[in-house]
Amino acid sequence: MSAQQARPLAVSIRPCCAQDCAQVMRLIRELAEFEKVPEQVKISDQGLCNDGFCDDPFYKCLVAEVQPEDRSKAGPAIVGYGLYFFTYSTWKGRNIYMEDLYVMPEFRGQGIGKRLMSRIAQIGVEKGCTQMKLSVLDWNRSAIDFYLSKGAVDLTATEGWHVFRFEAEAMRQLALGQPGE
Amino acid sequence: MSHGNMVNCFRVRPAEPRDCPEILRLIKELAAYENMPDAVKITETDLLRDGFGSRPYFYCLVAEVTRKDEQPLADADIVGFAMYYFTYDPWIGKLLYLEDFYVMDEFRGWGIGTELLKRLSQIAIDTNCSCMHFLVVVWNKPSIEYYMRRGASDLSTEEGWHLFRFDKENLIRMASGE
Repeated sequence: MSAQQARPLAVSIRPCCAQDCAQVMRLIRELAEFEKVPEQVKISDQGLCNDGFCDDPFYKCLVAEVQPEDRSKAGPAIVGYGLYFFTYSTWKGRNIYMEDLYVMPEFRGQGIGKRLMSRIAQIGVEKGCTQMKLSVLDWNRSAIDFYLSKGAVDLTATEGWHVFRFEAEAMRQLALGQPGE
Repeated sequence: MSHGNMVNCFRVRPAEPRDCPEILRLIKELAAYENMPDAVKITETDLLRDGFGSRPYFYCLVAEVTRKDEQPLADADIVGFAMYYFTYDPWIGKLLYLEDFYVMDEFRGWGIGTELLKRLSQIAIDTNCSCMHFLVVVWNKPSIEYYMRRGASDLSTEEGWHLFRFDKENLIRMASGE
């Protein structure tokens, strides 16, 4: 249990760097635990680092870092992250997609999540994006309420959009040119 | 469609900048088919800049119909396309995301869709993507059946994923720190 804070912690939002990957991986695993599927995390620290810091990165990430003056001795420095990338709509053009947004439970209530999301939105606007999209699990009521309160529309509920996936085996079959049953 | 003794065939290839007008035509046809004919706001210039500039936001395959005994590209018509890009799942890594996939009505049944999916899957496998994701409107029964027959699973139904969108006005509002 954290002690009552006299003022909010000094937390800065900055781009993730390669050295942060181990910390971000810790938070990714925490989020998977919260979403009740920790066994689904297959990626390694090295994989995350390679994919984000190669010549043609597959994602971008922001981290929320507690400033030195407020950091406790054994406590984490990186307490939240927002992972995003750019997508494209044949109707509206450039989009920004917020894949993950997470703040450690003991650091919530201080606007860190809002600041991460706001910075991602800013980056989207700077890059000429006309929409931001994200996905939420249907039982995650607090997240749904949060995004709805910010003006998001649930496209699955209102327009019937469903996310589909071809997994590895189905892809292998398609690659052989199978026309389907 | 047959013309005398000529045999119609097709080929699938990566899109080139000169294909943008045709790709836009097909995007608008697909929007009309989805009962949203006025929804398409992007232009040929947007497609050129965003697909063929220094930093591509998307990639495209096109299907063109040729006649066997003519010059391959003399009068090739583009009759289908697939637009895709790469996304990221922090749990499993790279994914190939299929944004749009369309074959003109009169050219269905030729195997163009199968060939497009074959090429997309090959690209996904070659670039170490764990899987392919895409969206379908749940009441689009023919499309749902088409994909399910080929081994797709509906993650919204199976796992409860809902897609949310912030439109431009809300994006700007959040960007200003509100």
